[in-house]
Amino acid sequence: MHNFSLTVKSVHDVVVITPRGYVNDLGAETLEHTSEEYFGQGRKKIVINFSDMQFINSIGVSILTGIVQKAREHDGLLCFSNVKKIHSDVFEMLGITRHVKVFKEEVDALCFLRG
Amino acid sequence: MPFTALREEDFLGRREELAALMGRSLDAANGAGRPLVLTGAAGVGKTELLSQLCAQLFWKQDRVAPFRYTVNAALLSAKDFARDFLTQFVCQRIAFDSRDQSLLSPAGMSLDALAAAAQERRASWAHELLAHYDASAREPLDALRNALAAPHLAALRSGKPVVLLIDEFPRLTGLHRDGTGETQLAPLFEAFLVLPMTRWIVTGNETELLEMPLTAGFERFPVMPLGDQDAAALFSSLRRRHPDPDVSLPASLARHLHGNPRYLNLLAAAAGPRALTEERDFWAVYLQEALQGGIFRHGTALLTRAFSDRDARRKALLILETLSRSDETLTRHRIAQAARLQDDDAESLLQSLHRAGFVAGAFGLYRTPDDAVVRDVTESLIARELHRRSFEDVERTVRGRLPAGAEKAVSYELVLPGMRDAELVAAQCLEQIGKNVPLPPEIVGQLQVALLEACINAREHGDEPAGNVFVRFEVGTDRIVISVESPGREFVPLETGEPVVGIRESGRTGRGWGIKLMKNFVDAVTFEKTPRGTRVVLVKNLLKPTNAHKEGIQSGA
Repeated sequence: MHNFSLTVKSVHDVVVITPRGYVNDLGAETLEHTSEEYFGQGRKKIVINFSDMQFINSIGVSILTGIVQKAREHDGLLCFSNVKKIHSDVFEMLGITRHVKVFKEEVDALCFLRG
Repeated sequence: MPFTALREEDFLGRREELAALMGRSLDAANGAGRPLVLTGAAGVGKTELLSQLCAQLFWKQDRVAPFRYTVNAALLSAKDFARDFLTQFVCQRIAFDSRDQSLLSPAGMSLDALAAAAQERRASWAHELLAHYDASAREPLDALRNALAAPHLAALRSGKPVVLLIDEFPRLTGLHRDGTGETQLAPLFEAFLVLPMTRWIVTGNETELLEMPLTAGFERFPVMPLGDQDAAALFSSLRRRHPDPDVSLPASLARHLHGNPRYLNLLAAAAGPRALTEERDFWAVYLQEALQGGIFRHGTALLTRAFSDRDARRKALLILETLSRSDETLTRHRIAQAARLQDDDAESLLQSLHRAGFVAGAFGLYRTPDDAVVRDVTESLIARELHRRSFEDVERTVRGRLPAGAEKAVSYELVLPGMRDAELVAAQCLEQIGKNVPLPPEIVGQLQVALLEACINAREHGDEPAGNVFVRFEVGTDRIVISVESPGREFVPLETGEPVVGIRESGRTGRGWGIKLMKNFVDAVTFEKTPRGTRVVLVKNLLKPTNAHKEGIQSGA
């Protein structure tokens, strides 16, 4: 998995996950496990910052829909930020943006989540 | 009955499919198999493949008996169909035992004459079938059941399984009890399709086949277009008696013809004794053929068959014009508005156009088909029937859209190992090509998404787990063509773009989305068979706005 990594930081009660590189099946599963872990700990607010995501494939997107589903099951709030135009087109095309709030910048997502 | 329309030397590029179908047919000797449906574009060679398979089964093995039948539109009352089906079956089955071709054309043969022929050849099973049928012949549905049961009973009595090769299968939706057309009898077939010691292999119009509830449980066997090399070889073979047998079909034209043997045959016939020395000679023949020759007449006949009424035909052409001018996927409502039709009217016309192959799409979203020849024929139909334009005028318009720059394209080739993430190398390569050309970053991004999916599919569906994937980029002034080739032939070109469940071990969905992404981010996606396996070709028009197709965006919004 040299082509994928992710970093996590906490900003008050919000968890910000930043995937890097290629989000394929394995990358997306790592992203899924990480977000699940935080939801499991009772953290309700997660931002996924896509600024460093270079590519995503269709399996990666299908796993992202699983994360959206998990957020709902945990009554969590999931936001996307810094989504490049091409990835935004992919998300829109596959219907994922109907179920998640998308912000231009991470700071906008944080403002929204912190009320 | 001749088995084949083509000489064996002209049946090119189908060795693999034929071997696979032979294997499936011989499996019938081991018990029942799921019925198989051959799918593929009109003219791609499904009927010929069925005929070649029949010839091989007839002459080159003795384990299963072939039965080749074409559903006749004029014999769709239960009684007529039953008699024709039974007569042809018995004749072909007896012919197989004695390899006697004289019995393969039973036209006009009475049941008594057939019974005598059976007796002469000591085919007691045939005698039994005919007697059984004769006793039930007064009641059409009993006659139909007895005729359909005949292959199974013959297999039981003789110990030899039967492979039924049925062409024009969708015509069975018109099967009726007694000429009133009120009773749909196709469901009656269901019980006979899975009987032991029989294997059904059917084909016909792809759209109609897939719409039949009867074929829902059939295994699909896609017959793909010929690759460039096979297409060129077929064209040369068809023209071998002409003065220029060594001149190859230009790759740009081979691709334009979509590897379709019907077009290649018509083009070769149209060229006649004319010398084809330069690329423009080929294109001139093509334009003549597509805009007013045999290919055009074939398109006209399809339109006439779909719309016998003049008013309906005019409305259908208005719809085609709307789609052709918009160059994107449209909803039924938008099409109806643009063509000034009622929604219901438009829907019914669109469905007929879809069945006839003039439009593509699914779930209420429609677009022009990927087949460039159909688009050219459509252009000619619209121009001549709606606008009364001259051939010269139409030719000028279509000529302007032809891939003139394709031959001047710069190409790059890349071999990817069948390893995880190897597709990233192709995507990075594309990025550099984009800088060299240069291409707008948005186009590069869209192509990268489509390319990643094509490479992953090639790797996942390849026959050999570690097989190489061959990627070729052809960059012209007007378009970029990316072909991704792999050793496998299991790539199924789904139209819907809905996810395919259960392909991955984890049971995740998503691979069908890959095809949806490809179709939305490039202008044409085609699936071809090649000597090496399967090729997916992605074509992006560089002269158009960079927007992705609207299909997915609309359906996802």
